[in-house]
Amino acid sequence: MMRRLRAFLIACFAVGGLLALAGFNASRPRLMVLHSGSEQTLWVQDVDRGMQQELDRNRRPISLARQFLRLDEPDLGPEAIRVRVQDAQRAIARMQPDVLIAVDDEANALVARDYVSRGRPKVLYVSIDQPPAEYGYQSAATVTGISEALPLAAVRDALGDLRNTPAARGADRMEGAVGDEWLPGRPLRIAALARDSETGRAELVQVRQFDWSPHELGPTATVRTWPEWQEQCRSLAGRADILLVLSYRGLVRENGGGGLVPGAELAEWLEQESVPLPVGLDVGYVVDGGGWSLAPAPLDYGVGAVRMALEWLDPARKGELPNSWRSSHFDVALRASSLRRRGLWLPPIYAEAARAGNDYYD
Amino acid sequence: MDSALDCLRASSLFQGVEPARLVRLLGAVEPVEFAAGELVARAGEQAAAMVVCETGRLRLVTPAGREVEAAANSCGEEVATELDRYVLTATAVGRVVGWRIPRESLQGFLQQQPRSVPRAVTLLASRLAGEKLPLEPTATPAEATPIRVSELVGWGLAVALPPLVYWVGLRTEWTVQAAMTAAICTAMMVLWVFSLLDEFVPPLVAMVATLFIGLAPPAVALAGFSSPGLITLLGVFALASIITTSGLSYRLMLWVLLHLPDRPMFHQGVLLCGGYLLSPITPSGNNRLSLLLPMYRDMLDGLKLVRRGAAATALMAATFSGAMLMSPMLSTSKSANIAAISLLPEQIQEEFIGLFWLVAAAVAAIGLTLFHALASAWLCSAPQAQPLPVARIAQQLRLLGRPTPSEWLAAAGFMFFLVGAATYSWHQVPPSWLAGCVLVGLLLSGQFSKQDFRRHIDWPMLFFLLGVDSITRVMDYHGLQAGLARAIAGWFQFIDGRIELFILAALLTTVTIRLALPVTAGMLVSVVILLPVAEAHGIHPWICVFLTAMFSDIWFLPYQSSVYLQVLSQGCGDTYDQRRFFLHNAWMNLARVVVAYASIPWWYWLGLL
Repeated sequence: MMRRLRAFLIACFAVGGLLALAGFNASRPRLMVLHSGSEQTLWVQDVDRGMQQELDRNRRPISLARQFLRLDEPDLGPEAIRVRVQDAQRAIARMQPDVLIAVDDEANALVARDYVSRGRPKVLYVSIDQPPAEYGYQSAATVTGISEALPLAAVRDALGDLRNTPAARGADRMEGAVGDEWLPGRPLRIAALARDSETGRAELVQVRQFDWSPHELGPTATVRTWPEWQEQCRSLAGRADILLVLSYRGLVRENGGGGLVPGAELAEWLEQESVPLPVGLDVGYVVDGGGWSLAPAPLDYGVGAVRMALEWLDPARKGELPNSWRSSHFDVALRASSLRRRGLWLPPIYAEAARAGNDYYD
Repeated sequence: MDSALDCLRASSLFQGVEPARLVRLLGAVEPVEFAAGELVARAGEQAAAMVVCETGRLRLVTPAGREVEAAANSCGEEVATELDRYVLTATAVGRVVGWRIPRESLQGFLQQQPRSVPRAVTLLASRLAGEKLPLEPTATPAEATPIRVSELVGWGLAVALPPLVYWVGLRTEWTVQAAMTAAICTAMMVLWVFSLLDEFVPPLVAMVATLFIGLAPPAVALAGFSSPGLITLLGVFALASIITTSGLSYRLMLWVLLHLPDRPMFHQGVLLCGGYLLSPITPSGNNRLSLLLPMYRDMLDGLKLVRRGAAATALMAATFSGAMLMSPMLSTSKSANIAAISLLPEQIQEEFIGLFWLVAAAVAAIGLTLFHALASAWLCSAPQAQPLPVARIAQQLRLLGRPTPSEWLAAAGFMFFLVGAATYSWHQVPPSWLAGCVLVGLLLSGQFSKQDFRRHIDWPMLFFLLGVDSITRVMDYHGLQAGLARAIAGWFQFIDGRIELFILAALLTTVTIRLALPVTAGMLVSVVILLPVAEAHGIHPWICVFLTAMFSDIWFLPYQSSVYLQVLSQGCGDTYDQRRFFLHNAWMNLARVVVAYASIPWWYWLGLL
């Protein structure tokens, strides 16, 4: 009798313990991160790094899965995109996440918006350039997130801080570049170029809607191919002083294939050939070889997204919807030699800000 | 196949063997047939198989032609005794139908069923002797160990308490993860307190549960296994093993006995100092005792001491003290010390893992030795009855001959570790990595083989220590330690930064916990509780670790000391006066408290306070 009772208690401990742990495991909150880009992209890596920073601080056991639409890969036809969207939908059906974190406009336009009417998973959009209403998020009770605001006010202020470098007036100065006739405080003509994509178009809308005074917004365009980009850029000589370089990753070399133009090639070409001063609004522009960029901070999006998701899932908050917000943080990146070559100078605060973010190159 | 099974079960060698084991053997048996008079096995030939008859019988004859059995139902049992050749010749009596069991298959079976080997030897001996000898039972009937009520209560609590703690935790607004960690730790404590499983299993259960539900990342949940403590333990276990197995420790004991004056004080001193000498590289009181007990027995017999007399008791007290007194005095003399020190900040670990620990504990070490000497003189003084058998010891030493390469290696490893630890401030290589070098050296030399690595490393103890370390880190990860410290801070308010009161708090906490937990777990749990208290009151964390290490050696009842239980289990319990021994132990318990207080000025002088 005693022996049986002991065996029964041991079985209760083992089986009960296992069931309790399995139950706990099954009921822990589930997050799925859906990236528009691929794992190799700097932007995606930085967003993930930010997420990991916040996850490292989190102590509550959660399940986290990542899915990548990889829409920045070359030669991606509509059929391939459809397959990737279906992959993502199946992954969501498989994991049944409590919160779907959809990063960038494409992930929201192609996947996340379809779940708004279903109620589950809850959708947390991150870094969208389009207004949330564009995806039907405006009044949904199960959607919140972080919109991307290009740091255009910071760009406008920084343009006012640009100065000539008298010492740099030399033979290697670029002919006809903006620095030749730079006058601090003079209104500048601003142009903008973006790849023709969901993000690129939305960014361009932000640029067009921004109040640039005392400067003046000139030509803006989205392009599909590398020759179009080059042609547009060349046409700006004499028509613009500043070229805002918007989203460019995924630019194809030619219509119908030829692969993607590497970021390094594009940045190098711009620095060499562009008469207007290129100012990147993409986080990797200076890493690619560009001279100067003020770009939305991916790390901040990652941190913010996970923090919001965990708040949303906190039982103490009883599912209360966190407030959506627009990220006001941005990263400064600087390649001093590029500015020097154009005979330009920026106050040291920019170099120090770039150093703080490990984005300063001499 | 049914007939083969019946046939095997009828054979004397396989009678009483569990059917499940026999069924596995069936896969290897081959049917055989012999005509009347046909030779089945010939004496002197390679013993390749055993044959069991289903029908027909065998005539067995010795090489000299003596018939030992006229109608045997099997032959070839030589295979089971590991003899290479047949001893008996077997011939078929009439037509024989049976089963042949090849040598390899039978030996594989015997590895699983070793009790059949003496049975085969007896069977063969019976045949050769010509008379029936009683066969060894195939399997010992499972002893019906009575189930303790405390065991049932323990399992009941293991089932009920963790969910209760989880529920209460959630009700008192703990976070989900803190409540779950507390529930898992509760299960671990219940399993320990009621000794429901071997000591190393509960931390393993807790670690697996933690990883199963993702309560902490593997880097935290398995942190103990990536700490320097792992290498230290491996190196020290390997060194301790080779020092024993090479015979170095025994040779040293004999040599010291031979060269010291033949007086009780020196005999006791040999055992006491022998234990002290083993302490830096033998992180277990039980291991040290197992090295000292043979010497104790030799001295007991050689000196012809009266059983349960004062002199024998003094000798046992010296043996026990030799194994135990240095436990808290060195970082490597107690496995829990190694685990506890890994809970301290890295800079403190570096300072104390070497000989500075011994320096800081010097007053206590000297004090305890003096107390032991006083207690022995007071409780167990007696004139020496017989002189030490010097001639026999000298003979033993002569027979041992010159030190073997294995002994030289053990001595070199020991000196390397000792000198390396003492000169850390010069070479800056932490003792953990020195222990790793010793391990690698022993493995490279081939003196410490793969089998030794498997057999002589105390893996359960290693898993226990590193598992407890890992779980402590999981608790820390979820802020449970800080929570615990906050919760009990009120109880320890009376300390108010005064070391005298902290010693009292450490004594009460450790002794109370030790009533329920074994030495290692008791010490580690005490450290986990007292460390935040020490830090909050400005007391050096090493002092906290040292005090818990020393106070966890205090015991009142035999169940509290595995080292004492080992003395009893080795059959030495009736060789000394138990009443006097317990008085000696009570005296040493008191001594531990006194030396803790006596160390205060020394700690002030060292700048630890």
